[in-house]
Amino acid sequence: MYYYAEPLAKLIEELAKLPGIGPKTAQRLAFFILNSSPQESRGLAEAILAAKEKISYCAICSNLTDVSPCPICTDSGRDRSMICVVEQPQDVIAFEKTKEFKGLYHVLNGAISPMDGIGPEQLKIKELLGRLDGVAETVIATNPNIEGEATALYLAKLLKPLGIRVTRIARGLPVGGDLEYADELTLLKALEGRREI
Amino acid sequence: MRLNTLNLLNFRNYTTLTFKPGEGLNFLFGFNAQGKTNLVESIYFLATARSYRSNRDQDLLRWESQYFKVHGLITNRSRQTELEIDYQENGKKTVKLSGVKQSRLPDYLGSLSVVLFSPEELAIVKGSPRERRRFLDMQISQLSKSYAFLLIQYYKILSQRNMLLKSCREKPQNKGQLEVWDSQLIANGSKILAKRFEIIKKLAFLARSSHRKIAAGKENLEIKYLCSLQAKPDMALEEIENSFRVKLEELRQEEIGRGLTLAGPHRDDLVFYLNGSDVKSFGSQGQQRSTALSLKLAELELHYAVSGDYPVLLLDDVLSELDSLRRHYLLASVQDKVQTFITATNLEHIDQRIIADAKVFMVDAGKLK
Repeated sequence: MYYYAEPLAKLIEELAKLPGIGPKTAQRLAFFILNSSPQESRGLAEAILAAKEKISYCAICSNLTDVSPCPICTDSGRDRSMICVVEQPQDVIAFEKTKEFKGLYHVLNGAISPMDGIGPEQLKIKELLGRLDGVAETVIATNPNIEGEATALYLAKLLKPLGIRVTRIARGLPVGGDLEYADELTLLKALEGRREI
Repeated sequence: MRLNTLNLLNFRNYTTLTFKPGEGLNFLFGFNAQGKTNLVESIYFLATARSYRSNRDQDLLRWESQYFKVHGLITNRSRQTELEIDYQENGKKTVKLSGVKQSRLPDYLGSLSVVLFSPEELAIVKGSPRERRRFLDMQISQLSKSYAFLLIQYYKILSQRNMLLKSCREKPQNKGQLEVWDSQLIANGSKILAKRFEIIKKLAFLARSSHRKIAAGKENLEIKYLCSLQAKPDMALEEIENSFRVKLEELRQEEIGRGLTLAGPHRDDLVFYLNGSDVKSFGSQGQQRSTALSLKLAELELHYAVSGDYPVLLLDDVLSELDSLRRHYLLASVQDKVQTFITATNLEHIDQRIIADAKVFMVDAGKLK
């Protein structure tokens, strides 16, 4: 049976490898690219290559960047006594959107998970330990699941003996939501983490 | 809780069926292979969206049909609700509450509660410890959503920790990481234990009084929780945590050697005693059966104590296995308060006074008379 010409089949196959893209969507994208102007498709191809070539890990915080050290690490206006530790580069973007956190970041690039063969040595923990001069507090902002929690506990065990304040971000209710719409488990966590006013 | 009307379409051997059961005992009798159990199964399916006889919904589809439907009108504390489950051959199942499609199954479950007793349930007494833990965990999960969540978390932590323990044999330096999994295992596991202790206490009390009724006061049923740690039922949460921690330290070398977590709620068991002797090892068939039955009746009472309403009781193929005295006490103890569905091949061995107050349906080749 003959469906696609070979180059088209190859394009669909490659697109279908992307997360969230199934075979149907891959086909749709491939036809869109085929129907676009040569400049447009060249632009897309070059953007992919350029991103791949120019983006690397920051030598200090392990975030993705095109200049190393990254703009956040070299920004003299930021509070150097505070480091927020996160799992993924995406988490840095989420924090940056708050425009409130003025400290530095450290991206672990994962969380401890023996099932996936990820131990502390696969994470950027050594890099974190190497940049603690003048740091008074580390905020552990790993995900609130068991792997994130294990990573947080592991870091706390390492950092506390060094005399650094270790804090964990709170979990509970989303802001601006109604209590009645919160799911039971979030509500339960919020109840556990209640505090005096 | 009461099932007022049941409608079936293409379910097992039923083409179409409208069934209006009574409020008390409902006897479904007939020859073998006529659809008695299928009818009970459909009520179970309506309540839980799954079958207790098969893991594949496809098996419930009538021969050469493309879809089936189970529909019921129920009364739940004087409120009428309409339940419906549709299944298409391609494996698509939809659940509806009062005609509204529910996208999350947990929102549907619990509208109709059932307690099932079929010959397979004997595994609670005779089977492996896993069966007993499953029974216990199901009881508690129905009463507490956070318990179900704790269990899921606990088993995730457990598999991560076991994997780490295995890796310690080749890479001894990994031992340092055990601590972070230990603390999560202890925190979650201790909460699970505390909740189990609390429920067992109630369940043991209810099972003992049910058993006293069906065994005419001659047998005393006791339930003990066999704990792999030195935790005791009256301990506070911190004490349970401490005993968990102590146990893990004791077992450290052995755990690394075997690559397994050797203590915790996942290694615990329940033991049943009748007049002081272990039912699993020394009880007769009849005693094992009535112990399982008493547990099911305790489940019924526990549900009542928490929600103020009795679930629907399904007795599939169990009457003939009890002696006449136990049979009588069982039926007498539920007939006025619990809507019950009972399958039997004949009604000769059942007390006439009980039959007089019950509804009797004859099941014949997928039809009711």
